[in-house]
Amino acid sequence: MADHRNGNPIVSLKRITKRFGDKTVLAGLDLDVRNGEFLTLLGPSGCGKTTILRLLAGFESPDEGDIFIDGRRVNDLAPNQRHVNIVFQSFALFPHMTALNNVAFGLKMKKTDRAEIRQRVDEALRMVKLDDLADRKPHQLSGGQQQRVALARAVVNRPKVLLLDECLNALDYKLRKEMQIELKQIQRRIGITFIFVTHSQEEALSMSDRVIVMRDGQIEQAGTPRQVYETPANLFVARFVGEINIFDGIVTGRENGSTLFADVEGVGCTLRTPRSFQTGDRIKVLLRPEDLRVTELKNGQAVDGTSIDGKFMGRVLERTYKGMTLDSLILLDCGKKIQASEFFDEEDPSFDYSIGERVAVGWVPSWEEILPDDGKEPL
Amino acid sequence: MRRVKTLYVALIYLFLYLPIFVLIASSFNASKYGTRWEGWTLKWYYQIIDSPLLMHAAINTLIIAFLAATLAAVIGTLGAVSLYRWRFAGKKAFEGLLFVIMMSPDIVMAISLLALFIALGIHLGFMSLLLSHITFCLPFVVITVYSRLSGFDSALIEAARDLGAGEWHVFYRIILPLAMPAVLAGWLLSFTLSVDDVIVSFFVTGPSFEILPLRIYSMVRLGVKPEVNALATILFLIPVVFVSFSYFLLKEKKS
Repeated sequence: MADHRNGNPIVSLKRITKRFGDKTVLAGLDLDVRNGEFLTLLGPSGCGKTTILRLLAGFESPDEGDIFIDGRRVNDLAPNQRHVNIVFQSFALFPHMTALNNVAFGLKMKKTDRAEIRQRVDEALRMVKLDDLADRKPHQLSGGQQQRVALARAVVNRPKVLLLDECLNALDYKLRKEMQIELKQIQRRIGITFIFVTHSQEEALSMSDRVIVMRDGQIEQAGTPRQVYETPANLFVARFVGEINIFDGIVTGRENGSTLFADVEGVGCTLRTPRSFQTGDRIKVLLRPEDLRVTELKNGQAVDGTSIDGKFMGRVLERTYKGMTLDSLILLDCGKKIQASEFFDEEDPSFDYSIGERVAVGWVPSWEEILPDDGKEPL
Repeated sequence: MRRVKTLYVALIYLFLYLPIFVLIASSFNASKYGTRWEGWTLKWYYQIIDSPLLMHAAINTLIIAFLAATLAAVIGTLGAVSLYRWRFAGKKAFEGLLFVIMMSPDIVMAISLLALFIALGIHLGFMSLLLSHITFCLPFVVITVYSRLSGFDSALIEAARDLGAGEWHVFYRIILPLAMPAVLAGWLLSFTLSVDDVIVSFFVTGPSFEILPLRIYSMVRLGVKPEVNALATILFLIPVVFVSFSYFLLKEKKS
């Protein structure tokens, strides 16, 4: 026990395979979770992320492989014998009990003595700021309050790992934002390992210490939110996490180690990448909308006087005012549609495009990500 | 248009309740044959109270109905919970058979029960009657409770398990309280079915244990007697009181 302090994982999945009927949901999956981290399993529906949670909670058992929680193999342990708790997508509050009794349920089941139950339940309800609504039944609480009761009900048991199954989905946008911050704060305060399942990249990026991007029962990438967003391991991750523009290109030459020349959608560009490519390799150039810089054109020249070499020419199809940014949809001359997102410049009140206007699109040098074109079209 | 609607509704109610009103009126009619109005009387009601045969049959009916409803509610609830909770061989067939029992004509059940009791050598009377009533009430309880359970988020049970509850606590703390309204509904349904039953009871009880519906049945074979009107009126008023009582009870709870 307690050997996770020496860096051993609190949760360890070893070569887990799970099938439902003839459908393989997880195929030999390995995953280690560090003690105290906020880990997010991110992926489209059906990628197996919820199955991992259910395996950890004990509602399913693996067909192959072993599950370790805090160094102990738990494959054959019933859900009520595991030191993990889950917050359900539907919250699953007991409708016939008050918030207080919902939260006290786990401790009562463990035959904790009364005074301690009282004290720990009060503490948990205070933590989620519901101490004055303790006597309400779930149906008398708002969605956000129900969510908090569900959280308190799980946390009060001081689990080794807290599992959260898409539990912000039922909330509206503003509340979801607030709960994201609150969840993160609570996790930091109590120091319990959180494993959070979601298909929302925004939730994953804003809360996690580490994100596991999954597809079809496989881990596509594991890394910090920043790594996953800025240096996606492959096209699937690039497309799933955030908006992205993908250009096709062919390597035409190399300078030194990290710089190469390429023909990208008919435009000669200089690219920087830590990966190594050979002349003639097909590549994908990935650019986030906010990496792009758009310049208006007049008579084939940039209005701000910058060079248009190595830039894409196109025409504005649509512009969307987003408050903080101006998003434009641009149709390039090569036929590709791209998204650009630019912050407003307060110095330039006329900053705006008209639909149909000719523009040149470049990007901030070295912000591009280059991946080999494996010929597969993801998604 | 509105008047047409009102008239239409009035006709429906007339169609439903006219026979009952005729019955209630005749129970207060002094005329022995009920062919014409001869003034108010409570005579027939006094005659019921004075008749030991009728009172005895009424008490027997209540005993059987209470026991049958209670036992059917207990067994039926356990059945519904196991249907909801576990997958087992023959589950589909079991579910189907419940409907078969519910839909099959009373006479089939009556004859088969009778045949069974004779084969087993069970004396026809209280025991055989009680067993039969439990049998035909059971599917109604199972289906009422099962459909309520099916309406619940299955995550509730997983949540209870996750929080450390074993099978017993899941049943006692979660499933039972949630199913309670359906259990009570099933009990009431069974109670009325049992009070009401003529056909099955006619076959499976003996002279040692007479119940009200059979007593009434034997009384009207020689023509409707005014006491029967009075008795039927009382039987009609009991559910009316029950229904209004539960209505006010529920209303009070909501506000």
